[in-house]
Amino acid sequence: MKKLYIFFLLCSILTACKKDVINQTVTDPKAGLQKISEVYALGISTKVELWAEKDLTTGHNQLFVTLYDSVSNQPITKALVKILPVMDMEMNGMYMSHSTPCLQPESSEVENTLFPFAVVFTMPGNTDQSKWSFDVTIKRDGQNKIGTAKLAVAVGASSPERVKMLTTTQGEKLVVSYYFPNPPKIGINDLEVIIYRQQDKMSFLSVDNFLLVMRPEMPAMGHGSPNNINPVHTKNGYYKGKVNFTMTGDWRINLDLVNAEQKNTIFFDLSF
Amino acid sequence: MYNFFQFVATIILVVSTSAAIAQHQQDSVIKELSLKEVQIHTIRKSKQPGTTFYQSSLLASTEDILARVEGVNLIRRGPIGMEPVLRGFSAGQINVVIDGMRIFGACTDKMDPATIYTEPVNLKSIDIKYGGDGIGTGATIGGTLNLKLADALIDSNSRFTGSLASGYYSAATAVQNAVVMNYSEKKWAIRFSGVYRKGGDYTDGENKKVDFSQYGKMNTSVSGKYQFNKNSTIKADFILDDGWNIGFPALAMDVGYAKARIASVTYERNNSAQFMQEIEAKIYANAVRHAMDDTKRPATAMHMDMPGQSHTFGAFLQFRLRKMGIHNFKVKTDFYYNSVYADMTMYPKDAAPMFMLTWPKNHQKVAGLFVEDEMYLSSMSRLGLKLRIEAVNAKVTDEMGQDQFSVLGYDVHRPVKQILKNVNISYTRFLSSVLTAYLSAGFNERSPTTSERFGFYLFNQMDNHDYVGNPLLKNEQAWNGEFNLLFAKKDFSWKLSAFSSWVAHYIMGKTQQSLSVMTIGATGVRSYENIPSARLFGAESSFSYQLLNRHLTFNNTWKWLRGEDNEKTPLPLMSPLKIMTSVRFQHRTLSFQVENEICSKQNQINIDFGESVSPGYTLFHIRSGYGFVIKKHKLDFSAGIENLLNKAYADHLDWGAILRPGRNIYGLLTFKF
Repeated sequence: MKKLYIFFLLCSILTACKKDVINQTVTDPKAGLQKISEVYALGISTKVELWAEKDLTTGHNQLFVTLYDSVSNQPITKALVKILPVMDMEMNGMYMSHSTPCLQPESSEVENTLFPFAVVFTMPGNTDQSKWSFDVTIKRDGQNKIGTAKLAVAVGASSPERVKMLTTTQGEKLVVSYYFPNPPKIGINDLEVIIYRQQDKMSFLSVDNFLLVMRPEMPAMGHGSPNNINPVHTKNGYYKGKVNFTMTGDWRINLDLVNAEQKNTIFFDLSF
Repeated sequence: MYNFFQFVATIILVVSTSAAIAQHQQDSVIKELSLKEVQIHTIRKSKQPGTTFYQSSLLASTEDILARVEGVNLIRRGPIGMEPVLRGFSAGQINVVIDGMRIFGACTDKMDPATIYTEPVNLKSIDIKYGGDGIGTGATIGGTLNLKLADALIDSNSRFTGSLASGYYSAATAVQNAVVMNYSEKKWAIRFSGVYRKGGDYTDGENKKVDFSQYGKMNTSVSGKYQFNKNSTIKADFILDDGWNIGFPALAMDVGYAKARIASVTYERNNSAQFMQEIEAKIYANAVRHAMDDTKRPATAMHMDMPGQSHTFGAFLQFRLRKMGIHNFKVKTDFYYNSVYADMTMYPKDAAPMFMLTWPKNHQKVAGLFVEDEMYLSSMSRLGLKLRIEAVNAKVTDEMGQDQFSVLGYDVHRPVKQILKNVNISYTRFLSSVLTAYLSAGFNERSPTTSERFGFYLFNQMDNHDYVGNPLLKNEQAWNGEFNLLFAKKDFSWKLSAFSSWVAHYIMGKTQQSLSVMTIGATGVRSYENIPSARLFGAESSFSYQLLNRHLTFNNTWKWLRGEDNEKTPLPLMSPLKIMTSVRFQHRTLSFQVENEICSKQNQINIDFGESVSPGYTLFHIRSGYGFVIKKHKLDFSAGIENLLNKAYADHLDWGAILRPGRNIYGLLTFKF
């Protein structure tokens, strides 16, 4: 009998402990993310880690930077972080570099321990002849020194292509990409289209003055889908809309980019 | 007259095992019954003209029999799998039940009405009630077609009985074989029946083979019965129906397989001394699997797999109360659950397969209460009252289906809940010893079907449109009226019926300009809408005369129907006037029959639905039979020629106006032991 009491006592303690553990568990902000690379920023004793949702490919990529004090190993929650993606190419002994559109971290404060940012890669880079890297500039809160770090990243080619480049009649070079905040499925899907304009080799500016007309289509059958909502500009070159899929298979999203002077038509293919 | 009704009386006694009806009232009750409904006895061979008229030959299919009933027409898309139409109402507007069990086809294109899952050899009778008279088995505006299953026969005097039948039909080089066996002990009996039908492409009246008109089908049923005592029995039925490679020449694809599994257990108790009489309690379950097949078609733009399934289970309890004054109450409570699901996978060349739900998984839960009161106002008049209230809960249950419907702008996360109200009042007056009048009126409702509510881009070959469902549809509501006159004497009967229905919120497909077609080559997209109203009306006549000491029987039926919407546009799929006449000579076991079928031209057409004017036609058939008795066994031989003049014709309800079989010579042999 005594043993039984002890057993129940232990049971109750154990279950109680278990409950506490559950209550204390906070979801890891990096759950579902993978570490792309890490490096120490020179001069400011800071470790820089680069995280992403999946392997980097051409088109829009959501990325995250986390910073740690390299002495205390404590996460840094306040800092000004700037990222410059750089493509270094070697062609027949000639070296050249260019950048690509990048949405900088919005705040100097971490969002759930992460500094989120996004990059639209215009080309793959994972060989000796063409490689991508991020020049990260960091100014930690309460410090005057500015640190820099260079993180090499491998970028594969997306298939079907998630980024399109076009030159308008005015000679403007546009970079258009899209992504689904949630994986595409049958039904209504949120869709974001990102439009940037190339100012020079190293700088890209967001474009907010386009009216987008979206027409999804199944090329194999020639039909579309009803009740789509054309993406409209929110901020920083991001256009939000809703695209409807009535079945799985190969879809094409036709996009008219319209403004006062011109109309350009592009499309993206996808399969799910 | 009395003899004629004795036939119907036997049916009633078998059907309901009713001893409650007082003997002296029987004649008038039967009269009243024959005024209201059609019952065709299919297994016990009767010498009565009705049965031989409807069941043209012993191997006639359920569909063959139905085609001959006044008030019934069939929508034909292929040689089997025809959809019954009761006085212009079809699909969800009518109930097609098997022994009171609800069963729903698993095909989004209506290729498998419940009627194909039974065979006359496993039926006791086909019981048809039109309009609001048929609300006993479920809320309906158009009526009920009940395929009553044959019971095992407990008869210790004949322990093992049965019959074997084999037939050949020339037009489709078809063979049909049937076997029925009954084994009986003192307390229990078991019955087995099996039918095998196989036909090739048939030859039409222009002597051309109609491609994709082949079929194969096997039906097996087992029924067991155990008698507890004189008053109560329990029985179990199981039907296995397998169809394969069924051609649909009017459609772009055929049926790969259609499988139904139907099971039920029924308890019956009847003790006229008790307050509750004629108790019948049944639990049942059925499953239907169906797959369309386009692999044999030469010119398919894209191969598609289109499987579907339907699962139903339910139960009901019905009983009659002991007569109270003038009142005769009958009560029935029932419940069923039906879940259907159909999807489509398309395989384009050089692209990923495309998958969608044509019927997202959805279920319907329906519970009903039915009360009937037969009031014996006087020896000359009866008043009947039928009430049914039904609660319906319909819901799309899978997330993909809900998401898919959100594309059309509908939120189908919540269930659709409805209460259906059905009332029917009838009055029977015995005007004289030979003339009886029957008047009935009622208000009936039905809820939309799965296709009408949740169908997703279902292609309709007839009007070349894709159809999408509309979860916001209102119930169809019908005001039904019927007036019948029965003139009956010995060896002579003539029944006249006139009926009319005014249907509010009639459900029809209406073109949606904003939607783009999915099916390659389709003209447009339609969604089901409630149009303000529609009106259906018609008349029927059924005449039977036996003369020359019953050596000669003359039968004649007329059926005429009209339907129009609120803008006076004819409704689609309305049959023109049809007249069927048969003269039968019978001497002992020798019989000879000549039939004539006349169908008038139909110019009341719905062009929007893809209809065109159908020419009329006249057909002649001849049939003969002879029976031998060898010891205790019986051998029957029958042969005949259908479409004697090899007329090239199609009926107005035949999709694509595909020509029907030309001259068809058949012969069949039946051995009874």
